This record gives sequence, C-alpha cells and structure tokens, in this order.
Amino acid sequence: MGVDTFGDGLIWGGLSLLLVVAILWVILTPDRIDDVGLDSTDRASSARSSDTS
Amino acid sequence: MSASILAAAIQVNKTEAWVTIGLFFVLWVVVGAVLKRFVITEEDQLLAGRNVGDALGIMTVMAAWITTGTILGTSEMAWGFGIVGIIAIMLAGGPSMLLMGIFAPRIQALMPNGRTIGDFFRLRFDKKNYYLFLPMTVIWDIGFLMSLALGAGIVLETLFNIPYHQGVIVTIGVCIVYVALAQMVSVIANDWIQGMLVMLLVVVAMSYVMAKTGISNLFDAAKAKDSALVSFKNGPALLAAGALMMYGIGSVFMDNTWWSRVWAIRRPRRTFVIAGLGWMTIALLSGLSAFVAIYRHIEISQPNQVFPKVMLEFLPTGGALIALLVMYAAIASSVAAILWAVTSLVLVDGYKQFVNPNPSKRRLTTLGAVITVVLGIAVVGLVWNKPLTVQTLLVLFGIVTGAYIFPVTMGLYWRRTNEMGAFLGVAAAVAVGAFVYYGLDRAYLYQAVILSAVVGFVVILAFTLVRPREFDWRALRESRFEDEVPSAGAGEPVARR
Repeated sequence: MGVDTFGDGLIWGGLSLLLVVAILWVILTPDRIDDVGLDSTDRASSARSSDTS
Repeated sequence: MSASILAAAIQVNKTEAWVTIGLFFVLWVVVGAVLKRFVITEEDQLLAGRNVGDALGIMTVMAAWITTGTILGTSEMAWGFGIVGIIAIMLAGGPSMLLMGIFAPRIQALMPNGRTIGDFFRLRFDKKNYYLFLPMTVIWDIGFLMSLALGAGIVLETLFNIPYHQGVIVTIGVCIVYVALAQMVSVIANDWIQGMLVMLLVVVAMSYVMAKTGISNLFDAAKAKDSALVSFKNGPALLAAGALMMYGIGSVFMDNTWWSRVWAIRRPRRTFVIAGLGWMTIALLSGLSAFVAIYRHIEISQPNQVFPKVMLEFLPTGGALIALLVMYAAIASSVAAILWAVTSLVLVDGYKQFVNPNPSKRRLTTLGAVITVVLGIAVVGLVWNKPLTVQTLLVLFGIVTGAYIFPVTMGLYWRRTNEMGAFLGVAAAVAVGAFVYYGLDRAYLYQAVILSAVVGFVVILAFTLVRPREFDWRALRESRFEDEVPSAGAGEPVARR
C-alpha cells in the first residue's frame, strides 16, 4: 500500500479531509441563482407552494 | 479459481442456491413486465416520470449503492484493519451520498428538466469538456459494471460453489432482462425489493448476532487478539480511508446513476441523506461481523468469507441462504442501476445528440433494450478472464473519479469557474494520478487517487481565480426532453402527459 507509518497515513488521510473541507467551502460560498428566477428548494416543495398559492 | 479456495467455500446446497436465483429472476422479470405498461413518455423511460416518492427513492438510492463491497468489503477491511477499516468503508460510501443530498436541490433548481449528467457538462462548460467527459464517465461506468460482474462471479463461486462463468452470466443476464423490459421504472421498483431485502436481512440478522454476543465483548475480543484492531493509530488504514472517501465522492459526483435519481425523485435531498445514513449502517453492521468472528473464534481462511461464515455460525439452518439473498440482491440492484445509467447516457448523449434528435418513442424504447443487452454481453466478455482484482479495478478508476470532484462542485456553485479550468484540471489530475500509479510505483494506488483530486482542485481553483467567467445560469435550462415545454416556475415537472 506504500504507507508504513502512522504519520504517513495521517498525512494522506488529513489531505483527504482537507479536500472535503474544500468541497464544503465551495458549497457554503455559492453564487446566487435566484436572480434569474431560480431557487434552490426541493422540486416537491416548489410544487407544493405553487399548488397552495 | 484455485482448489484451495473452492475447498474453503461455504457448504451450501447448490440446488438451493440455483432455486433462490431462479425465484429472484422470476420475481424481478414479473415486476418489469407488469410495470412496462406505465412507461408512456420518454421521461417515464429515462427518469421514471420524475415522480418517485420518498420510500422508493430512498431504497433505489441505497440499493444501487450497496454492493458486495459494502458487505464483504467492510467485513474484510475490519478483519484486516479493525475499527479504522470499518470507518474507511463507511467514508467510501456515506459522505458521497450526503453531499449529493446537498447538491440535489441546486441541481433541480438549475436544471429542472435535466436528463443526464452529460447535459450538465455540455451546457455548463463547453464541447471539449463534454467530449472529454462522455468517454470518461462511460469508461468509469463500464469499469464499475466490470467490478460488479467480477465480484458476482467470484462471490458466487467462492461462497456458494457456483462456477465463476455461470455466476457472471446468470447475474448479468437476469439484470439485462428486467432492465430491458421497463427500463428506469423497472430498475427503481426492483431496487426497492432488493434494498428492503438487504436492509432487513443485515439489520435483523446482525442485531440478533450482537444480542447474543454483546457489543463490548466484541471489542474486548478484538483488543485481546490484536490491540491495533481497536486503535486509530493505523497508517495504512488511514490512507485507505482517505483514498476510498475521495473515490466514493468522485464516483457519485460523475455518475449518471445518481444524477438521474436526483431528477427522478421528488424530494432528493432527504432521500439521499437518509439513504447515505442507511448505507453507512449496513457497512457498520457488516464490519462488526469481523469482530464477531474473532469473538467466537470462527475459522476464516479467506477474509471475504467473514460475513457469510458469521451468518452460518449463528443461523446454521438459514445462514447460508440469508448470505446468498443479501449478496445476490446487493449485486443485482447495482448492476441494473449502472446498466441503465450507461444506457440512458448512450441514448441521450449519444444517439439523440449525434444521430437522431427526435426519435419515436417506440424506437427509443427498442434502442434502450438493445443497448442494455449489448452492454451486458460486452461486460460479460470483459470479465471472462478475470482482469485484475475487484478492489484494484475499482480504485484504479478512482484516479478518474477523483479528477471530476471539483469540476462538478465548482460548476454547480460558482459561476466564475470556467471551461478551460475544468478541462485542464481534469486532464492534469488524471495525468498526475496515472503517473504516480504507473510511473512511480504500483504500490501508490491510494496516493494516486488522493493526488488526482488534489491536482484537480488546485488547477480549477487557479483558473477560477485568475480567469473568472460570469456564467449565465439560465443556459442550464436548455436541457429538456422533446415532449416537455420549458419550465416557467421554480422547477416543477412540466412534461406534457
């Protein structure tokens, strides 16, 4: 597997965790889409709101 | 398959195994045949009418993602790496589902009438990204199918004495028949049956087993055998956990199986999150079977036999049958899901995009069935001589899937992310990953997967910051079926029925 020590494994595992943090960073800093008439709710929720309005 | 492995196979009545598989075949084909009449529009054929409810949705997502690797792989990892091995497999499948649950509402809002992930790459980026992505995703899916077919053959042979080639043919053959019959509708309905079966059997059987043993006894026994099994200070296992997590996230982000379910399911956010938690529960329970084997001193000659042997130990009369049911349902649900994911990609992004944009419904249905059959036969041919091992084959494709994590993420959330960054990011990521594995050392497979994701991130981020592009989100709305009208609202289904 190419890794013998705990330290090596920790570095590679930690790097993967940092990538997950990077994904969350992108998700948490989105460019708005509601300015073009779109929103980000579930389709079913949208359908329900249109049904009741 | 060597004689020693065959000799170590679990002694199960071969007739019982064939009868079980035969009954499954009849049930799934009947479901496909009955549901065929509900497939009226192209939208029904490809996305089950975009109207899949919560219960069906959760099971179709979970069943498609549970493979033999979830059950046998986790118990094998736990047998070798202990608690970190279980966590590694849970990370391979759990976070990817949870993240897809976060993505789902945004995908639906941006592309309310979307058809395939190919639409996203075509409309969000440009032709060069689209033409690079299509072969990549098809190769990945075929590789995934190969690993499933290979796994099916090996599992049925080593655990149930069914010859490898017969196991592969029967597994793929059964799925081909019911997928060809009612296509996406059939896949989702049978996923529900298969998912429920796996969930119930694993949860009930393992709960019974752990009630008999006591959870603390399991950890005490593992610690007594080898303290490393209950320690987090395990370098190789941490590396595997990181690489498998990247592999899992990338493979879900770039696979049409999951994107098509986002559009098929009415409330995909909760569906994906619950399915992800359910998937991790199955992996955790399967992994704990390794500790049960240690506690009861069960003789394990092949690590992939841990779960079935534990079932046999505690349920001597029905244990083998439970193991067979779980394995076969897990394999078939994933094979069928991926078969249809590739078929729909070929139909929409191949045939309709390049050959005939407006085929008749009858032609599209026939073509879907033909592609499914041809694809299935091709996969059987590709695994006939057992290429590589299942795990190596899967992780090798992780180099490609890792490369696509950030084009998808940034493409969905940042309008500044541009097509050149996405293209060069993927190219550089795959090149670096392949170089590390093929050029440096074959032992660096897991590192190659992680590095692929890192390089993809760095390149795409650099292009996003240096050459930002103001993408117009409205361009993504061009994706729709020919029998749909453009959506006017916030993404409700708009097919003309």
